[in-house]
Amino acid sequence: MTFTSFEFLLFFPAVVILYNLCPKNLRVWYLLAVSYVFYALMQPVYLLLLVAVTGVTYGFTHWMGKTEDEKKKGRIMVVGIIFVLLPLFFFKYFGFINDVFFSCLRLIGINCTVPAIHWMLPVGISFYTFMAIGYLIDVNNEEVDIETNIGAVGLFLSFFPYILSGPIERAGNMFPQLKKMPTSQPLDLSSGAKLMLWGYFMKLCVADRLGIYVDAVFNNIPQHNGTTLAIATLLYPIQVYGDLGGYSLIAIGAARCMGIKIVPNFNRPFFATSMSELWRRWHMSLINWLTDYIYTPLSFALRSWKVWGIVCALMLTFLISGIWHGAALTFIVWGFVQGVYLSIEALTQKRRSALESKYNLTQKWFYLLICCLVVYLLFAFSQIFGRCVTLSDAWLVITKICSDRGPVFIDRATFAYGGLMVVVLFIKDFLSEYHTDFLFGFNSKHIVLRYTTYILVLFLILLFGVLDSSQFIYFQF
Amino acid sequence: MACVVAIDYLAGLFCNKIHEDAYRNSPESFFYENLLYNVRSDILIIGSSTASHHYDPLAIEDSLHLSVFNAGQDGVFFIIQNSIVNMVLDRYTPKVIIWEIGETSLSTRYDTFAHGHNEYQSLKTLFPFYETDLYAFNTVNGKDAYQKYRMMSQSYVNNSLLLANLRAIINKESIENKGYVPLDTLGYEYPSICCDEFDDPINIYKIDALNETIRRCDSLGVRLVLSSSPRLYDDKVLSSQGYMVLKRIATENDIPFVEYYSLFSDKPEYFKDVDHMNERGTRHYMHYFIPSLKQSVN
Repeated sequence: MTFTSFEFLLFFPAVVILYNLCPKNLRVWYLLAVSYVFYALMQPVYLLLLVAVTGVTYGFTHWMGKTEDEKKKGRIMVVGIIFVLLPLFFFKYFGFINDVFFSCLRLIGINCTVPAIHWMLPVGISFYTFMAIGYLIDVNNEEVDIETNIGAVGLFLSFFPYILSGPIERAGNMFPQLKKMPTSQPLDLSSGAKLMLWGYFMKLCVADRLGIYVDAVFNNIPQHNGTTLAIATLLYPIQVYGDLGGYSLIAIGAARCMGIKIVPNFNRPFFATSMSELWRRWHMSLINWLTDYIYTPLSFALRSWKVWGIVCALMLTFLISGIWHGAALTFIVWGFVQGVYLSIEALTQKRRSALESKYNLTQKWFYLLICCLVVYLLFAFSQIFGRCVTLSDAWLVITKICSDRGPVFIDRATFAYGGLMVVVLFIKDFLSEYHTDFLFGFNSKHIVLRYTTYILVLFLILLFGVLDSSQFIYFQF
Repeated sequence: MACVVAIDYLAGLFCNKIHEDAYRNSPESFFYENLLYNVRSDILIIGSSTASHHYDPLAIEDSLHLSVFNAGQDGVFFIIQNSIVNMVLDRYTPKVIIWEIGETSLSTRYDTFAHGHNEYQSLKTLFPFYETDLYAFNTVNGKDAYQKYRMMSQSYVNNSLLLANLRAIINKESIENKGYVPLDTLGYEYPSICCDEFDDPINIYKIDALNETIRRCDSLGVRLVLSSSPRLYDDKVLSSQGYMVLKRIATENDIPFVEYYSLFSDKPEYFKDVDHMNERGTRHYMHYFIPSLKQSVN
């Protein structure tokens, strides 16, 4: 069952109704049961793994709670993190490291083989692993109280709206809410439904529509010329935004229907005027996690290196981000490229700020537009490594874009419907970004206009959305 | 909710009206509607993209002096093909049906999206016939338990059709080459032979469906010819379960199985990709296929 399946449209309202009928003191256990059922319907065996990670997290946080000695507490935390990371390592990275290690041995003439182990990746493992690690660190740093209710810990790690593809939540945000387990208010239901509706629009009308074209091109790279590959490269970031951004909105909206507020994940990223701003608007839950638990401690430890310390911290943080996205060299290169972009910005920050101040550039619309376009192009280029399966494919795409011109491969339906939906998306984002006082559509004061917007978006989804089965791009993270 | 239902109904009326006008203006813009309502050729070619790109009706017509139509379409797999064959038989009886069929046709390979395609990915082709044709009705509802509820929404039924309808209203289109779609011969790198193995289990329901269709063709006096056109795969495909089952079915039912799977395995220049011959390859294939077809139908 995925968010876009018919079963979810039946499942979710029933869950919300029963949640509100359930006594408050049982709601944690009710939602935990629902979340486990939701997970088990996809991968029943790996539910045991999720339960095990929950048990380990709960056990180690309590062990830390009973320890007075700070150093011992830190050691317990490290051991706990290692235990939590072990399943992620074995399921996601073991095969990759195995292949790389034995390839290196073969390069120096040592030929040996190990039977390949093909694990099916547990859905959501990257997400709940990071949440568990974040909780362990927060307990060690005394930023959150230790949760005594194992059901709440289980629910924190397995909550069905975000278990599959995030956002990556924090203990500090979730546990207080799980203690209250509020009843759904009319505002919660309407806000949640609106978020879900827009999320479905982004996913079905934008992401899946563009995905038809992008997949057709990137799955047949040798068959397409550079011009077509360039178009697909430019469309891919919008596809990912629609996919992950749409999914996140559905997750946030679903939780909101139950009165639970989850952290936002995207904030109109294509209006960023610098790469660092893009990364404050794109996959925010992941970046905030990496910033709090990787980048900040690293940059503090390397503070004596001044700006080069920042550069090193950035490079390492984004290399880890790349590795988190996937066990492949392409993702490592993707992370490296992001790190390079941000490092260059860090190194040139003073000069840029001075130039912007001197000519008052940040008030000029053409400067902001050029910055947005440059940022988009740089991001789209880096996403070639995120989209291609191998480095040789990525290199082929880049060389073809630079040298192989030709007629564009056109799919009329994708360009027409996809183009129209992208325009709708950008108009909405533009109004939200620059005209926050313009209450239109979903936020209109006039009830007729609001309901007209809801119905219009619903029919855009039904008439133009891709309603056949497909998967979210981030499904196997 | 009532408002949504009402608007959905009105949207459906509007879309249906547009479609009627579009079909009246340009029936050949709607391939399967045109096939089922207008085509009455002596020989019908059914299949997916391999059928569409590998069989030249004009070459077959020249030789057999019978009218031919190529009803192959990209992305249409066995379940939909089987439904189309039966829907054709409901309307008229061609003399010969050439059914392009392969090693994955009866397997479970495309029962899910695990390999990038799915049996039901072209289900929309049957939507125009859902309310009038039992085969279409059963096939559409066979997708999953909820499909019949989705079909209650007029907006869902008309999903992604607006552009095609508007184009058909503005521009009258015609089907070229009697449905045959030749692929370019030049301008790309020719593929290398593929060593993929197709070891997916067999779907027994598909075997039953094929047997039933074979019996129906026999009872109506339609000569059914199963055909496997050239591909650029390693020979081990020929010993795959899927391929062996096809041969067995053809033998048991005494119907011809014209096999040329490995005919051009040493000629990559005849292929656009490992599954599809280009125009040059098709032209050469017709030199082999047509005599075999003549033999099969006589």
